[in-house]
Amino acid sequence: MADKANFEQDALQYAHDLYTSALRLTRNPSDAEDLVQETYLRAYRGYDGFQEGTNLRAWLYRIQKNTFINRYRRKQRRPHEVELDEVEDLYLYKRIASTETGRATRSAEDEVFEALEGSDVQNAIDKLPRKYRMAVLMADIQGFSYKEIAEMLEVPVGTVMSRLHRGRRALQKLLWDIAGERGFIASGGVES
Amino acid sequence: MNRKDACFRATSRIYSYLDNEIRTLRRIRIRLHLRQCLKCKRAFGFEQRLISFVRERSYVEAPPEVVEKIRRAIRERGR
Repeated sequence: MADKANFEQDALQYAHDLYTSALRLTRNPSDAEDLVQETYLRAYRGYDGFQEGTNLRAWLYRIQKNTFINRYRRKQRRPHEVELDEVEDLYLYKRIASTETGRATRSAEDEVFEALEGSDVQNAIDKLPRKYRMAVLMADIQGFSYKEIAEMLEVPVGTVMSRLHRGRRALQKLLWDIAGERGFIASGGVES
Repeated sequence: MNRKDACFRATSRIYSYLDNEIRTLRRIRIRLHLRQCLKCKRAFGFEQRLISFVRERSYVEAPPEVVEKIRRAIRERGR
């Protein structure tokens, strides 16, 4: 059983992680702030029930996910969400390769990565439909294993894989489109 | 198995491989393929780089005043 007196010291170190994912879940800073605060208050009240020695970060995430679903989902503004068409494997890699005469070279790769800013990546993630966004968020941003994600989302591991892999491929297409807007093609050396 | 099939098989498991979520035998088979196939090796390298890139660019530190607010909320309303 965990001691509530240690809560602040134990749990507050994950504030940045929880804030990062709250931003992508709610898609705006003010709701993200509320979500993180609500998550911590709930976690504090339930800290007696946390088993010491188990994964505190995962435990906090589960609370955040449940809080988000219960309280924020209904009032979520849903701006633009892309339909998740099936995107081919290696989508971005192949597109970059197609701007070169041969296969993707380091320099073309570098150009794309340099063209994309942090806010571009965040905006692209925000455009993923929620269930894919959550999978990408938990795996790629928070680094949880498939099994941990499956437990948090209460879905089978196979579902996590399919959402994550599809979500990543869809993200590649979104990033490619943004790189184009940022002028990658123009400087990428495509001969007309 | 010809080269094309081997590339297809490796690529279809690329994410499970990069995420370290694949059975040992399959992992070894893919690793062997990557040693022989420069094209797949590059593609795998690219995907790995992209995942790290997304992670780095997504990370946002909570503003100090937000952390402070949470700390206060725990102290005041948490009990």
